[in-house]
Amino acid sequence: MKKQVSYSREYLKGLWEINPTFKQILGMCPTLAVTVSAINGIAMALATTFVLIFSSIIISMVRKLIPNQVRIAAYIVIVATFVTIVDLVMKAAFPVLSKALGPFIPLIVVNCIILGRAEAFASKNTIFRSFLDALGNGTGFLISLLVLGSIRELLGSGTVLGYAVLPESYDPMIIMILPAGAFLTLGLLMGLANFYTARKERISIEALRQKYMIETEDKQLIEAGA
Amino acid sequence: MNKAVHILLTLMVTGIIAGGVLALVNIWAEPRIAANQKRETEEAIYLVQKNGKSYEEIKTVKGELFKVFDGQKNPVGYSFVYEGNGFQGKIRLMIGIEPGLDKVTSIEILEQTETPGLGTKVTEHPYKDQYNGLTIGTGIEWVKGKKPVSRMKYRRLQEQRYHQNQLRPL
Repeated sequence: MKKQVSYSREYLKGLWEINPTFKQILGMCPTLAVTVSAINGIAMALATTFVLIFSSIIISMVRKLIPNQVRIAAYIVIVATFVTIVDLVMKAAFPVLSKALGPFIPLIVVNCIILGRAEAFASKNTIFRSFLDALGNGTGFLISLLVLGSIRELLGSGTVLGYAVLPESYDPMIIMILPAGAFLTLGLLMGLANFYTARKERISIEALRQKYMIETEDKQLIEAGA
Repeated sequence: MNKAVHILLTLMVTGIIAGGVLALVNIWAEPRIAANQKRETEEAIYLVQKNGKSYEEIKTVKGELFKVFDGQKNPVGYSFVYEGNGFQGKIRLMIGIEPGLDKVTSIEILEQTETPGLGTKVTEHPYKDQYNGLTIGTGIEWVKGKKPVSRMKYRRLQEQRYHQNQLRPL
C-alpha cells in the first residue's frame, strides 16, 4: 500500500517543493502578464486559488462518478463554472480590480495549474487531501506572483503595493513593466531557485558522504580492535 | 449501466448543475454590475465636463448622449459614449465637447482590453490629457502615441461628426 504523506506535508509541498511557478513551470501566461504590480499579482493569485480549491474539492468528490473518457471535459466544465463565478463576483463587487486584470480572469479556465492539479492529484485523492494540495499550490502561486509583482513594480514604478518606496529622483525602468521585464525577472528568479535547490542537494549529498565515511572508519576501527 | 448512457448522463448532469449555479450567481451579480456601469458612466460625464453639476440624457439620438449643465442650469457642453476597436479589443470612451461643438474638453476611458503595462497607459492622465482642447471640424491633428491605439482613438474622435450632425451648438 502506498505510504500517505502527512497533512502538513500535503500543504507545504506546494509552497516550494512543487511550487507551480518555479518548479512545475505552470500558469506562465497570467504570471508574466499581470505582475506589472504586486496588487494585480495578489488578486490574480487569490482568484486562481479560489478556483483551484473549489474545483479540486468538487473533482475529488465526483472522481468515482465521472467516466474516464469524459473526465477532462467534465473537469473543464467544473473549472469554467468557478471561473465564471469569480469573474461575475469581481465585476459586481470589485469593479476596479476586475478592470485591472482584464481578460486574465476568464483565462483562468485554461490555467494549467488548475487542470494539472485536478488530473494529477484531485482525481486520485480524498477531498481533504485535495483541498490541502490546492491550498498549498494556491499559496505557492500567491508567493511567486507577489515576489515577481513586487520586484517589477519596485523597479518599473518605484512603488510597492502602491506605496512610494524609492525616492522621487529614481528614474523608473520602463522595461520592467513591459513583457520583456516579466521574462527577465522570471528567468532570474528561476535561475536563483534552481541554484538554491542544487546547492541544497549538494550539501545534503556531502553530509551523507561524510556520515558514510565516518561509519566506515568506525567499523574498520572496531574490526581492527577486535 | 450502458457506458454511452453513463457518459451522456454525466455530461448532462454536470452541465445542468453548472448552468443552474451560474444562473443563481448571475441573478445576484447582474444588477450590481449594471449599477457599477451606470455609476462609472455618471462619473465620466462629469470628468469630461469639469464644470458640470447635472445632466440630462438626450434620447432622440442613437447611442448614449448627455447634455451637461452647471450649478445655475446653464449648458456647459455635451458628453457622449463612443465605442470602437482598439489594439486588442473594444474601447469605450466618454468624450466631452464644448457648447459650440468646436472643441473636445477631455476624454475618459470607460472600458478597454489593451495590453497590461504599456497598452493600459491609455487610461492614465498624461495620455488622456493629449486630447484636451483639440479642435473638431477643422480636423483633429494627429496625436503622437506609443501604440496603434492612438490612431484608433483618433478615428473615434473623427467619427464623432456623426453625432455632431445630430447636435446643435448650445
